[in-house]
Amino acid sequence: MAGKNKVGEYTGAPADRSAAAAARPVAKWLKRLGLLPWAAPALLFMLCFAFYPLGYSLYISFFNYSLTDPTQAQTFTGLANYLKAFADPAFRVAALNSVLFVILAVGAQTVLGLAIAVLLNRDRPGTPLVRTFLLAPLTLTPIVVALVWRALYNADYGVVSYYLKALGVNIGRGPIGEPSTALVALVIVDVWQWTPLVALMLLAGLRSQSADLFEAAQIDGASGWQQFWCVALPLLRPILIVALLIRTMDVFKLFDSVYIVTGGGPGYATEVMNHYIFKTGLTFFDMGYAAAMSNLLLVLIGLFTAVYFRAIGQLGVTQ
Amino acid sequence: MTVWRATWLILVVFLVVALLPLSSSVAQPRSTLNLVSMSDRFSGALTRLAPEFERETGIKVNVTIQSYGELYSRAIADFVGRTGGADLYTVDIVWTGEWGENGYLVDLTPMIQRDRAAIAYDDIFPAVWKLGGWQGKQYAFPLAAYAGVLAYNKKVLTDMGIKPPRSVPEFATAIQKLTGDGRYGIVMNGARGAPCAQDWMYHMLIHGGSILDKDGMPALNTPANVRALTFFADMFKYAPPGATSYAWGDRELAFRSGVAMMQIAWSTGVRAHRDPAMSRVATISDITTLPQAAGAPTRYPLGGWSIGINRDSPNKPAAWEFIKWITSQRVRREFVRLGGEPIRRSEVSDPTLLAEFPWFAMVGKSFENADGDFRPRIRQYPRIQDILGLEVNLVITGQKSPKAALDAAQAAAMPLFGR
Repeated sequence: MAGKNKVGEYTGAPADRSAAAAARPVAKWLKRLGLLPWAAPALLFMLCFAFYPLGYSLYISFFNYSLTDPTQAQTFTGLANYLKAFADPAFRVAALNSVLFVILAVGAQTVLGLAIAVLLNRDRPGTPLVRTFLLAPLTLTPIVVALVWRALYNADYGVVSYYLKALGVNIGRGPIGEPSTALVALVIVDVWQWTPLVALMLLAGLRSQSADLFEAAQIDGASGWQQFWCVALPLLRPILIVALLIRTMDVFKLFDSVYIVTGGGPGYATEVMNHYIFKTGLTFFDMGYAAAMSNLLLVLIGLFTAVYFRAIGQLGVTQ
Repeated sequence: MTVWRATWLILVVFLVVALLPLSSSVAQPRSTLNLVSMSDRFSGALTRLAPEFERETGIKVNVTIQSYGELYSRAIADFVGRTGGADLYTVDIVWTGEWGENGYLVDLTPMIQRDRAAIAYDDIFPAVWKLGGWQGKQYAFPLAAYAGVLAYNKKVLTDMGIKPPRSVPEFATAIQKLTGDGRYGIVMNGARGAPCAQDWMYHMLIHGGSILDKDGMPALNTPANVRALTFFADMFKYAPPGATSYAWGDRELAFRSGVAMMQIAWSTGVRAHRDPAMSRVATISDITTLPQAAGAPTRYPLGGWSIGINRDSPNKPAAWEFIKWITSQRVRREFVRLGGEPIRRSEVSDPTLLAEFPWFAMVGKSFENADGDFRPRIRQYPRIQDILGLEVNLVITGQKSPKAALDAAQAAAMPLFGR
C-alpha cells in the first residue's frame, strides 16, 4: 500500500478512487506512468532531435546517397563509406590535424587557464575587474572572433603581421598563408577565446578548497609551491578533467574559425574533420559519406571521453 | 480532474502545438511571391523594385537575401524536400546544369517562346542566354550578366608608359614593371577552394585551356592548362604577400586601396572601383578586355545570375509574370541603375546608362565573344572546382609543381565521371 500511496501522492489521485483504479490492471499501469507526461516533452525532443538523427545518420552511412543525384537512388554499400574514409588522404589528414589541434589547443588552454586561475585566486585590488574582463572573449560568437582574427592575421594590413614584421620576423605569406604556421595561428584563436572558460572553471575549483588544508600545510612548513603542487592541484584534478573533457569535445567539433579564416588551407594545412564533413555533406551533398565520417568523429570523441572518464574513475579510487 | 489526467492533457496539447507547423507546409497558392536572392549588387535592385511590381499587379514579392553558400544549401534542401519554400530563386550560371538536369526548376522554354516578342528575346546577348540555359532548354531567365575584365590603375600605367596589355607576354611584362615601391603589379585570389580555382580559370581561358575536352570529359592536365597554371604561379610572386589567403573581398580591397595595379575581376565590381566612398582609385581606374595568349581563340569569361521558378511553387503564373516584368526593357533600365548588370544590347548602348556607366561599352564588347562554359555548367562542377581549389593553392604556396598538381586534379576528377 505504501507504493500505491506514493503513486497517489505524485498523481494527486484521491484515495478512494485510487483504490478502485488499482483494482484494474490498465489503470494501475497508467498510474505507474503518472510521471511520464512530465518527462514526455523532453523525451520527445530527445527522440526527434538526438536519437532519430543519430540513428538515421548510422543508417544512411551504409548507403551511397547523394541529395543532388537526379535519380535519388540510395544504393546499399555496406561499410564502403567507412572504408572510403580510411583510404581518403584528405580525411586522414583532417583526422590527424584534428587530433593535433586538440593536443595543442587543449594543452595550451589548460596550462594558461591554470596559471590565470592561480593568479586570480588571490584577492588583490582590481582582481574582480580582471575576472569580469576575462569573460569578454566568451561572450563573442565564434564567427565574429574568426572574422576579427582573419583581419588581424592579414599579411598585408593585419595588426599581428605588422608587429611581427616590426620585430624583424619573416612572416612570408603571413601567419595563415604559410602551411607551417597556419594551424598554430588557428590554435591561437581558439586559445584566446576559450582559455578564460578553463580559467574560470579552475578558479571556482580553487575557491571551493578549504583554507584549513593550506593552513595545516603551512604549519607543516610547506612552501607556496609545495602547497600548490601537493595540496591544491590534486584536489583540483576532478575539475581539471571535466574542463579537459568539455574543451576536447568542443575542439574536435571545430568549424567556424577554419571555415572563415583559412578554408582548410593552405593546401591541407588546416583541414579538420568537422570542416571536411561539412563540405562533403552540405556543399557536395554526399550524405552517405558525410554520415560515415560523422560517425567516425563521434567514435573518436567517444574514445577521448572514455579515457577522461577512466582517469576520473581512477582519481576516485586514489583519493 | 485528477493531476495525472491533467498531465496527459498537457501532453496532448503539447503534441498538437508541436504538429501545427506541419500543416502549414502543405503548399497553398499565395498572392505573395517569395524570392530568395544571392547577396550581390543586383539584390538591392530587386528589393527596391519589388514594391513597384506590387503596385502594378497587386502581387507582393518578398525578397530574401542570402550569401552564396546559404542560398545554395537552402535551395537544395527546398528542392529535395519538395517544400516549396520559395517561388523564385536566383541561379548562378554554374548551377544551371545541376538544377536543370535534376528538374528543380520549371522549364521556361515554352513561356519564352510564347512571349518572345514581349520579352524582346533578340535584344538579349546570345551568349547571355547561357545564364539559365541547359541542353536546349531555358530553366531560368538571365538577370545580371558579368564579363570577366582586366581592371587596371590607369594613372600608374600611363605614368609608367605602360599600355593595357593585349597579349600574355605584355601582361607578364606589365605585372613585373608595375611591382615595386610598395606597389604590386597584380592581385589574385589565392585562398584554397573556389577563390583560387575561379581566378585560375580566368588564366586558363586566356591561355586557350579548358576544364573539359570535346567529349565532355575532364582535361585538366593539358599542356595549355599547365602553361596557364605555371603563369598563374609565376605572377603570384608579384601579388601582395598575403594574397595566398585572399578571397574576392580581399582582392577587391587590394585593388581599390591602390596597392595592386591590376586584377582580373567580374565587371559587377567596377561600380565599387568608381565609388569614391569605397575606392582610392575611383577616378584613376579603368577596365579592358582580357589579354590573350598567341593562337588562343578570343574568348572572354561570362558569369552572372539568372532567375528561375521552383518546380514546387504554387504560384508559377505569378512568378513568370514577375520574371517577365523584372527583365522587361521598360524596367531593366531602372534595375541596372539600382545595381543590376546588363543582359541586353539596348542596355550597353543606351546613352543615358552609358553616361552613368561608361564601361558598359567594354562589357558589351566582351559579351559578344563571351564563353559561359569556361566554368563548365555541369553537375560535377562544384567537385571539380574544389579539386582545383586545393591543387592550385598547393602550387601557389610552393608545395607542388603545376604539372604534378594538374595530374593529381585530373586523377581526382575522373571518378566523378564514372571513370
